[in-house]
Amino acid sequence: MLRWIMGGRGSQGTIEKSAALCIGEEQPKNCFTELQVLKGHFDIVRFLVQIDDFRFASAGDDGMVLVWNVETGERLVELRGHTQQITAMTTYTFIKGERPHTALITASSDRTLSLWDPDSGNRLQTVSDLHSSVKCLLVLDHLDVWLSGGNELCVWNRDFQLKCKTVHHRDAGTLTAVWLCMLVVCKESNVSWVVDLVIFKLNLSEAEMSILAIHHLADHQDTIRSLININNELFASGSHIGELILWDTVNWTIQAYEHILWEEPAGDGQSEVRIGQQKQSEMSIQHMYSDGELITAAVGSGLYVYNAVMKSIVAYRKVAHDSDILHTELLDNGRVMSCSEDGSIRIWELQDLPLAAEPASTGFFGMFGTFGRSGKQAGAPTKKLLEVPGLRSLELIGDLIGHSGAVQMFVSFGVKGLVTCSADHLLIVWKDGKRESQLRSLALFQKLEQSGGL
Amino acid sequence: MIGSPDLLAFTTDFREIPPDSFALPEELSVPLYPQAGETSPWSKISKVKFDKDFILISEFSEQVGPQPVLTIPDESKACGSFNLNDFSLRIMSMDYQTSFSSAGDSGCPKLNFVEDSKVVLGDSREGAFAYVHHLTLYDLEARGFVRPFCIAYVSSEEDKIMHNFSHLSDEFSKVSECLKTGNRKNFANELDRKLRDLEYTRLVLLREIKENQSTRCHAVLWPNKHIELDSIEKAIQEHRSLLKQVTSYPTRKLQDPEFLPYEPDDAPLSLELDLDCIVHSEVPVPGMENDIFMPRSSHTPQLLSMNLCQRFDKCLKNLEELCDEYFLCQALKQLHSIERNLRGDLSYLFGYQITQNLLQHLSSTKFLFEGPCDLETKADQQPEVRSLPLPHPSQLQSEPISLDAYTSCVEMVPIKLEVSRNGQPLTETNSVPASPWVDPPQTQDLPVRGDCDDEEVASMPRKDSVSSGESIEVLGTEKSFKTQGPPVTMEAVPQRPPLFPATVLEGWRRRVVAFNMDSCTITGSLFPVDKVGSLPEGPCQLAQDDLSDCTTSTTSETSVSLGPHRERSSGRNLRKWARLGRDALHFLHHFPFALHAVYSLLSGRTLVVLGSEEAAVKRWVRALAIYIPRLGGYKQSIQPWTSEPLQIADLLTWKLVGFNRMAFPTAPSIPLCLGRYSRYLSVLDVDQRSLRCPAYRGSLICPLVESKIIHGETYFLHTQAVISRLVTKAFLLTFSHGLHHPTSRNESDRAERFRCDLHDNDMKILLFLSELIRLHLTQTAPTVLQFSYTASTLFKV
Repeated sequence: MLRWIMGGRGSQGTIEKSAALCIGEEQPKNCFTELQVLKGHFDIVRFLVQIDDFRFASAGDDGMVLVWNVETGERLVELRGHTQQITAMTTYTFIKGERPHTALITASSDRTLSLWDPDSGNRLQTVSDLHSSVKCLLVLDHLDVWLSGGNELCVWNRDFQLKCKTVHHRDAGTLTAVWLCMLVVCKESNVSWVVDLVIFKLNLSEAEMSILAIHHLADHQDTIRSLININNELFASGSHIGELILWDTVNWTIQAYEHILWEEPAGDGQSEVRIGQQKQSEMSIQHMYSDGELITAAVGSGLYVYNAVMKSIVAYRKVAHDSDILHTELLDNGRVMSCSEDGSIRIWELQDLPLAAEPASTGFFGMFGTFGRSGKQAGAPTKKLLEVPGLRSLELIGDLIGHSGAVQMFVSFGVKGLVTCSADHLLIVWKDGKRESQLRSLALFQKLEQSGGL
Repeated sequence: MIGSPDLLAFTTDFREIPPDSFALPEELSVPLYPQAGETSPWSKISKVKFDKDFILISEFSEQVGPQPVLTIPDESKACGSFNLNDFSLRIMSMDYQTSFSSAGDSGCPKLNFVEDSKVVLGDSREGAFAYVHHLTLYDLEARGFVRPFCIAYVSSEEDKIMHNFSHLSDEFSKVSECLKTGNRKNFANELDRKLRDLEYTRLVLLREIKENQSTRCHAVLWPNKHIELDSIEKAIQEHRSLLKQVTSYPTRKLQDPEFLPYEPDDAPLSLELDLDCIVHSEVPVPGMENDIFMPRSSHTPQLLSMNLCQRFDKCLKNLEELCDEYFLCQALKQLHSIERNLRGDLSYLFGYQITQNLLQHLSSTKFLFEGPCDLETKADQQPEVRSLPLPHPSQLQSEPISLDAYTSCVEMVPIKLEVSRNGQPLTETNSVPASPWVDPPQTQDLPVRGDCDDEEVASMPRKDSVSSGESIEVLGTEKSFKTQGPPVTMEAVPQRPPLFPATVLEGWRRRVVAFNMDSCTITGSLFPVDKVGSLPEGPCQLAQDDLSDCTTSTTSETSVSLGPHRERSSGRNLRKWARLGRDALHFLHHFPFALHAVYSLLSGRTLVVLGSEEAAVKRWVRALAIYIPRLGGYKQSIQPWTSEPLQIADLLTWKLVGFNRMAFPTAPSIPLCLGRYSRYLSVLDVDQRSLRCPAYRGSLICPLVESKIIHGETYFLHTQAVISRLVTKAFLLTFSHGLHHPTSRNESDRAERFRCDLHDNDMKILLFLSELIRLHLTQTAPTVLQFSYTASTLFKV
């Protein structure tokens, strides 16, 4: 299978696609052999947030927030109050009476923000009449404040009191897209965050909190689609045209610059046609995830795994799904999971390439540009990927099919299962059938013990 | 001529249970067929002249003697050359009246609320045996106002009747209750009309006497007006009394907990109206004569003459006139249902009862393949008549407001039946207070002994067991409720070996038990605590306990196996089984790869029958229905025909789906939704005769397709047998703790062995069934879809 991908011959272009997509029905490594359909939403479900080790909340365009038990599939609480679609949701853990409480903050297109108690379903706090709807939420646990990003950036305390806010002097149009990506980078006492490569500084030393833009990074050539914090030293941003930049948290210098081009060799006539057909979004870095060392990036319908420490590519797959990947994560067991607009969730395993016995044609590897703009990474502007030591492959080991609409995102509960949400209004909990069966068996034996027989 | 009541109620298998620790638990043991020691049940040569068992209603007409009224099923269908007249004569010519009142002290007639009597009769010459249920209906024009009827279940198998005695007794009592209720209603109406006639006549008479001028027009009618007036007034008193008696019928049904007040859809309104009518019309207040002429009902009062009143040469009312239409209809329905439920010979019924009885103990697994439904006919099936529709007691019991107007007049109405048979007059009466039937049964003396032997275990004084005719034996009778003291009943249809001491039990025992149809029987508790407690201690107590044990189980069993469930198991059920089996056999012959489809169904993988022709698709869906384990509701698992795209949630409940290919004409070969979920689905393409599903390579379910059976019903039963073996294994798997949670090396080895003994495919079936059992026992709704990632194979014809 890998050979097909790497073969790069034009005649195999179509085969490559189908080969990448079709794993067949035998998936011995796929442990998700049980599914449960959770119904309750009436519109696209866009957000999933894990509350604790067995509860999660889902929210979407119907303005409802539902709290579920992942073990039983039971709907615990319905949080109703928003009149329009939910635009952001996050958990907010605070200490109350020496016990940590987890609440939910939601933002909606109706320009309100709400704080919910997922135990009782009560709306604890609410803010309305905002100037713009909030597009993203961020909780700074150690400061016990949280931030909302819309056309302006607001800092709130636990009691939903506005501490300070910025009035952005750029025009609102670009900002809307910008707020989607907000990142907090913490370094010692310096607390700052970056928005569309605008670095803000939150000043805590004064009596009044204040927030100031202190730096602008304008190295991306197109809209930034995703932004993540990798570790204390690094954060990464990905743009609409496939630029992936690693930044230094302290001095905001570029640590690595990758321009991912999913393209066939230029010399191949057939590929030229295909390039012409390519949508712009095929290179768009929609989503990124990092475990501190590895980054997975959803690049169009392809997947890209990058080692942020080694500053090297680990593995990639140009066509990982039939259409754009919306969410991707690295699992605990080293596997990569992705979900896509095509309605499927796929599980990938990083496998060592067979020793390069057959040197694959340069193919499209040559089109990967790996070069750094910073001093550290100054090198050849173009490097052939095969020459990258330790390049591995992403092997599809399983796919989960059940949704009939785009799978918006997923949340993994480890052995307890995986929750996916989709545009088909459904949530599906995927579980290990064998484990669940054992649990049910155990429950039965316990019941028999209690009742003393059948 | 008349043999003594030489027989016996129930023959029972008193097998000794060997103390075998490996034997099945007692409640799961299968009793032998009671007649196993004799010839096979099929080898009996019957000399009966009727084709199958039937129900006969006869009456003792005071004009022509015993005569058949109707049979169920129709005479032409069942009775063949059997002489119904003759048989009616035999069953009606025994004394059936078991009740009478204490002495009457006034001049008014007294209605006898005669309890039904129940006997089993045998006519050895004809080879016919019958359970005979005698009842009386009221008819104002009949002698003593009563019309004796009997309902008989006629069978060529004596054992069958004995075996089902309690069931017959229960069911026929309900029918009788229904008929009598309808009859009381009609009787009350008739009385009411008659009363109005009398009142009217009385008024006319009074007026004429007062005016003292003969209009001559009534001279013929009333030669002597004063005498006439006297007798009219007397008649009014009598009729009022009768009306009061019939409307205030203090039924024992009220004390009967089993009596379910039934509110029929159409009847109660009219009934209430009728009763209201009675209530309001029967209060002729003196001095308000005008009231009498008020138009209260459609009945126009007529002038009567007492001379004419008492003539009995009119044509007697038939059953339709005697009994209210609704109740008669219900009673006949019930009789039809009894007839249906008891079709088949004893061995079949016995086997069915054992099955049902055993199933009671398999509650953890029996739900899996319980009663495969017939998709086509299910909707057509009539709702089961569970309890007989009887009007609310209050309706029938409602006392007329004019209660005080009636004097309590009690008088014996002797009933004399004179039948001339074989040229020999035969007279039996029950009108004498000193008649033997009043003797309270010596309940305390019941010889219930632990060391029972071939003698009767309990022999009740059986003076009522009078029969006539050389070849008629009274096999068992029943005393009425009211004439007896404390009702004590021993009824036994042991379905399993009772716990009698081994020493006294050998071979076949016959036990005679007295039947008593009292409220206890109806409630199903044959030994109410207080009565059991009153029995002597000692060995008797032991036997009593055993008996009570076995009768209790009998009752529960009866209520289950002969109750509503039997409705399904009757001939209709057999036909259904045959059809299901035939359909399945068709499928097996039509598709050589049927085994793999069956595997999909048994392992919980949804099977889609894809086709463009609805009838064909539904046919194959129906054929496959018998292989579907039940998840939750049975019907929910099957979707015979749909054109809607399948959703993932559908797959959780639907396990067999008929899918309309034409709903997606643009789809190349397989509709998109089926392609999308192909890993969860097996697709049987009816048009192309292909099947795409995981291949089966195990062995457990092979007997399902490898049999040489050609008969539908046989195949159905064969399937059930194979499947129940699967279920047994699944049960074992479910409850083998070590298999799921091995705590020691030994246990994990065992678990390994269990798995190794079985092919993976078989294991998958067992795991699925086991999962269903688990969900069932933990009462969890099956909300998850379990699947596996296995490759499918395309099979083509």
